[in-house]
Amino acid sequence: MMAVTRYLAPALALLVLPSFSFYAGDHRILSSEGLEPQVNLVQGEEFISRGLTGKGITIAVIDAGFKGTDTHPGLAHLFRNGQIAGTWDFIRNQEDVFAGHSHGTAVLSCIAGIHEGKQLGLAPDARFLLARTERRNEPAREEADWAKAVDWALRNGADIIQSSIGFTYHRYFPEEMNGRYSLAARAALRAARAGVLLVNSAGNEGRNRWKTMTTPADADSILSVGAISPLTGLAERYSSLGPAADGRIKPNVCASGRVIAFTAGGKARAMDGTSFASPMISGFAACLMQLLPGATAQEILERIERSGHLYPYYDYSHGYGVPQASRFFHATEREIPCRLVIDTLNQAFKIETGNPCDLPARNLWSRYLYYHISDSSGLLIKYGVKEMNPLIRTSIARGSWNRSNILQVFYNGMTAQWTE
Amino acid sequence: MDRVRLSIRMSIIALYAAFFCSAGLQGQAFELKVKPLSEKSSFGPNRLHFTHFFLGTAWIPPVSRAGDSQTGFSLGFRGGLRYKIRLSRSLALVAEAGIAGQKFRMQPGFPLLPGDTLSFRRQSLSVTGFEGAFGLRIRLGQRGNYLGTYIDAGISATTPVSSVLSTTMPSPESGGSGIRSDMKIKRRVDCIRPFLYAPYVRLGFNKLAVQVSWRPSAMTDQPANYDMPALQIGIEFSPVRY
Repeated sequence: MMAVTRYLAPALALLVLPSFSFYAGDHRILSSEGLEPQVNLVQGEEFISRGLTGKGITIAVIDAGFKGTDTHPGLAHLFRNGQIAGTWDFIRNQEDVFAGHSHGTAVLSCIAGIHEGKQLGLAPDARFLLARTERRNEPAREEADWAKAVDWALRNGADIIQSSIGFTYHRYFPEEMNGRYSLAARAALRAARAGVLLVNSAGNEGRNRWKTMTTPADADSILSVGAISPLTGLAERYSSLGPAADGRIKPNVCASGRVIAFTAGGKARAMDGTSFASPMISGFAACLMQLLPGATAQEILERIERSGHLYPYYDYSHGYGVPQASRFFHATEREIPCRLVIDTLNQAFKIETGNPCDLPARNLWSRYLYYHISDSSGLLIKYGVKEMNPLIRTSIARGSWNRSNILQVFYNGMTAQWTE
Repeated sequence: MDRVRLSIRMSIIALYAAFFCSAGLQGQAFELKVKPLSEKSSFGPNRLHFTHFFLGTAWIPPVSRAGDSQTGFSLGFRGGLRYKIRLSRSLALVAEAGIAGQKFRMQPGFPLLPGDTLSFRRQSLSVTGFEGAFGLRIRLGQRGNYLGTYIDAGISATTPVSSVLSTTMPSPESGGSGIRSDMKIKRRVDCIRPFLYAPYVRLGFNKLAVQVSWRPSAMTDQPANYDMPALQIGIEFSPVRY
């Protein structure tokens, strides 16, 4: 018995210890800088430390209602400083939007909320237009109201339109999510053509039978935002999957789907959904517009895509990844002394990534190897993520590999591709 | 010496365990195969195949019957599985199998009075059996996450398994005593047809449907003074989500 306790205990310790260090690493990353994880994930401190807070940018928020916005202490600065530029309730045709659902309050707090002295979003100094368009079980009317709200935002000088609304099975089929068919997608295109950046949540249909983008997230020239877990750094299972029905890359980028956001009762609590990932990117875009005042909405969109932590790699769960503010200030961050080698075996690809011990533990994604296999037209056939900690070699099954297929791999800022 | 050997063995086991543990950490976080768009079109009420459970009630309208009795209380139930296969965006075939039962009460057409010649006070017929149906579905609404709006038309066949006629009549002992007492007699009805056919029409909206069916033939294969009315109206609930 003594021998068992004497020799088994170290063996058990060896089994358990790697798991503990694994999670401890995550915690260290999330709690750094004293910022909320949702802000930290997009490297919000880069904007905050440079005084970029969305000042001078007008963001229109279209949502289900802003109940409690006018009384919440964390949003009081918006009223105190006259940052609410206009409001309209398209359901009741009146100015008061502080009724109905509190979803809009939560979304707005992810752009401009201040909780216990910390920013919940990136643009607390932006101006806001608030539009309420959602009611219950009237998808046709709601979609028409959403389109009207877009036009209203354009008339009132919005630079960014933030929407966490998606229309699905009530009016459409998945194959109609091609960015041209739905009324909402056409209104979104109208906004893009008018030079306004529309940021829309991808939808929470990943676990449902619908699975794919909702509309207007399917529209071209807009930013569709998926959700990732701030704990794992990987796409949340509920986040809608791309591509758009015509094969375009969707979602474009992603952000934290688990956030601290405001409730109607004057409090803050954790909430989940792509609805809350989208305003994180709206705030990001506002800071970028402040940083680059001459840039057009489409240039901002492209720059946000290029700042994704996976760029130029992409997949249909993460898009180009989580935008990283440091990309606009530190150009050399991607240079990492490491190698990525793809070798072929009979039934699998063998991939060597170099020694991860040489890599600094930079972010949540350092341990992941992303890969996708696409056909000759660029459409992905298969994609996935492998956890590389602590070994440095892995293999990917070739499956039904076609000669024209392309394997692309992303690891710690490096991309490599292989084709026959 | 034994301790050293045991220590070496345990170290080897620990190393193996550590290796397998770390190998486990290098796991597949996830992998997704991208479905071709043509497969995605099978969605909601437009889905190619769909099987769902349904549960319904049936009610027989209180119509006057030939002779001296009229419809009283009636109740029925239906339940089973329904399978749908899409033919086109607007048309589908439906087949179903389940159980069905009805209880139908016949009452005299006027109050029972002293000296009345009516032989019963109440009579009820209960029939339970297996039911199958086959029909065509015209889908008016192809979108949504439930069954959508549809009209079904088809024919159902029921095989009675149990058929009981229950008759309640004044007890002979009660005559003249001033105290009323009834006597109940139950018996199996043997002359029920082996298959009862009934065309039906169903109007459905998402989880709810209203069904009307009509049985063209008599229930029994010989003249009898009991038979269920041919018309039945039912409400059906399908707890489904595509």
